[in-house]
Amino acid sequence: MITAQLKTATKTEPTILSKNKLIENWIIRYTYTLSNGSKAKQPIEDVMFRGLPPKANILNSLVITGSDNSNLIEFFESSLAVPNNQWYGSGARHQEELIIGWHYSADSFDPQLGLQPGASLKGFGFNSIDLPGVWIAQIVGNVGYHHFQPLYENDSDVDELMSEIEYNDFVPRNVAAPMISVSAPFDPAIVMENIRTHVATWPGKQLAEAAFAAQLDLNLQAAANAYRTNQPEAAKGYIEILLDMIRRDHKDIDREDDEDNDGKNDSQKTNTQHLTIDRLAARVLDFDLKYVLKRMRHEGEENDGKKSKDKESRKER
Amino acid sequence: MGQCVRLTEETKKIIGIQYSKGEAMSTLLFWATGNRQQATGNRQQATGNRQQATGNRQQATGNRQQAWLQKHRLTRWLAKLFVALSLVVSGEALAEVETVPPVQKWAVANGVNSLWNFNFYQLSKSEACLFFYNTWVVNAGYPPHTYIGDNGTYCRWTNFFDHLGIAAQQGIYWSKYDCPDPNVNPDVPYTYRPATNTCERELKYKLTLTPDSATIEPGQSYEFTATVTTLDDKQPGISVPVSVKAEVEANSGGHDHGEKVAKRDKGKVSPANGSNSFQINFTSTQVSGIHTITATCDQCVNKTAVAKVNVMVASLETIPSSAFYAFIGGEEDKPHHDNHYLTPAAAERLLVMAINYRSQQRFKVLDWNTNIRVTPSVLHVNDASLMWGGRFDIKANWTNPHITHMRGIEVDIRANDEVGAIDARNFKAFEKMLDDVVGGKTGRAKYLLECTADKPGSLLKHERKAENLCISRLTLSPDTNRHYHIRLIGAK
Repeated sequence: MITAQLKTATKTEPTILSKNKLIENWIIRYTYTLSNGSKAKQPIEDVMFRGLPPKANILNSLVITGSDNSNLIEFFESSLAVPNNQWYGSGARHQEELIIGWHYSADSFDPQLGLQPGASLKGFGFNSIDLPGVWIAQIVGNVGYHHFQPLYENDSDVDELMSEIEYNDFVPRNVAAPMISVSAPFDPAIVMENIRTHVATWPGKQLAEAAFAAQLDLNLQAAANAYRTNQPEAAKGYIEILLDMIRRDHKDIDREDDEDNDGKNDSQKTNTQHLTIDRLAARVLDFDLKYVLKRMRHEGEENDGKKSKDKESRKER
Repeated sequence: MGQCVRLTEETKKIIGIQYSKGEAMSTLLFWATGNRQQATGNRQQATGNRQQATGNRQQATGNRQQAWLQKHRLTRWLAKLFVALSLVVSGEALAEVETVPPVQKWAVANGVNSLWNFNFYQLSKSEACLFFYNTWVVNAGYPPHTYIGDNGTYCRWTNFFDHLGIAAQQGIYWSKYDCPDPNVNPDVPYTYRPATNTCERELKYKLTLTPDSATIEPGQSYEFTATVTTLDDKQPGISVPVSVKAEVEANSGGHDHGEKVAKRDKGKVSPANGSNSFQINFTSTQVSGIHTITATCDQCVNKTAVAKVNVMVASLETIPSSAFYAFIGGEEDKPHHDNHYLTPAAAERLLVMAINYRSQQRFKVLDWNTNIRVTPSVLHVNDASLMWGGRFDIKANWTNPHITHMRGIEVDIRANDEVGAIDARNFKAFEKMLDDVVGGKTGRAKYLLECTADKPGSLLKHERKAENLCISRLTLSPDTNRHYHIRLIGAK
């Protein structure tokens, strides 16, 4: 009998805190703080976002075109911010597959290298024009050379099983990631529908109760319809209802977790109260809805500004 | 009126009639013609009566002979059958016989004995009659006369005189049975059998193998059908044996080493023998190449039928050249000179990987001499797949150890300490890059830092004297065979 050994990369105790901030030109800054619990048995060496929407926007990438001038591959090394020079960002979009991640920079397979147990690091991030949704980050511990030993012939049944184990050799954590596309030119109805599509996945991921998600869906749909039929005030009313629904369980949702000075992040804010929506999901939805309101307000102000200029120019004539 | 007689061999001998081989005189009509001839004939008849008396005595003898022949006709038939069966017992193959009715042909002469040896026959009485008229009556310079035609039993023309000066109004018919020209396989004529008044010939067969070509992947099977039919596409009435074998072109499929080291497996056919119509299963080996299935039928006019089987992995193409990688391997002293084939999708991933390797700041390594981080050399691409994929037998012996590299989705990248190798300091980052760029939807890419093959008795697939870096503990030098084996397209 032959035995195989895999040193699993799941002996970390990771937490990852997501922040979103709207900066100029409607760009959203995504930043992350990574921590490894003090009881962890391994340092963290990788944080990966796999399976993002193929067309998710990440700014400042490097695009390589093919011989026919079509996009061959898009690299994200230059897009990804890192906390220090011990880490580097990496990722690519090729044929509609998108992976980004951060890796501890190592010249060897030394298993001691990475974010040590008890340590925390902020400064991972990137910019995007897409709105945040909730996605899963894969946190990988450092085990040196991480493949199964011994190895088996490709495509054998054993190899398939071992590959399956290797591919799932990580600790998952929810993060805010660019999941909801923003149309250009800005169309609030389309954006609301995109938000609605993403929120509909939450019950399956245990991010929201089904009944609560159904109520969210009704109001999201109503808001989208209102925008579609040029009733922005009505749409605003539905969005306010949605914001109230969120605040029922999460009163201080509009404050960043490290600003409320309670020393806890999303996953740590547990209480005995039954929650209808996950805190990160609530924060993400809160951000998205306020983005739409803010943008509609800006659009309205711009339109008003244009109208008054036109009026003045006519008067002058 | 004349009388019809069937002339047996013996009878013909008695009356001295000669005929060419294959003919049979089955009906003979004698007609006396003309009044003057008849007068002459009367005088002759008197003579003839005397002759007839003699003839009667002869005939009596002939009749007794004939009676004897009739009495023993069954015996004679059995004798012939015995001969036929003897031929079978003596080892000659059973053969089917095709039987068709003969064709009755007609000729005309004027009764002179030498004209019995006409070798030409027209197909109908009218045609025979007309031919005789044109050949003999007109050309022979007989007095003017007119051809009237035939009345179904004899030719007619006016003012025709025979060599005695006696006017004649009829020619003389005789007919023979002849075999028709075969519509199918005309090279093999029928033979007339007087005993049965039939035309016979040994049936010939033809062999087909369908389809006549196929393309399958290494290790797969394909069904062919061998079919024996008569030349006019009917099923044989007997069992016609067929044997089957497989061959392979020794250098095909990219194995330019041929059989220098070992004999090449030709694949398997089953069954190896059959008859008439049957299915043949051909199973290829894991080695790509050109195979030939040959079915053999000794009783068939075409003896063999052949089908060609291309055993190959489809859609493999030469890896395009690029400034981002260099090709190695396939040297003249190596068995496989053409070792850089991938599927187009895999080739594109290789390019993406190579571009990434050259573009990322991460891969710049510190030059110890200048203390400056420098861009690494381009990836050096060794074995991918052969032109038709399949087993890549690096030792030219048709077996492993180059187990993978079969489907045009895997490639070896140099990672020892030779020129162009990936620097060991970049191994970790290289693997992370593979996960990010090559892994795709399946997650991590499949790759492996490979070294020299196992020593016997070792449980490890590859010899690793130090932790996964293929470094000898004795010499601290890297395995010269160390390389990254990368599956460019995700598993399965």
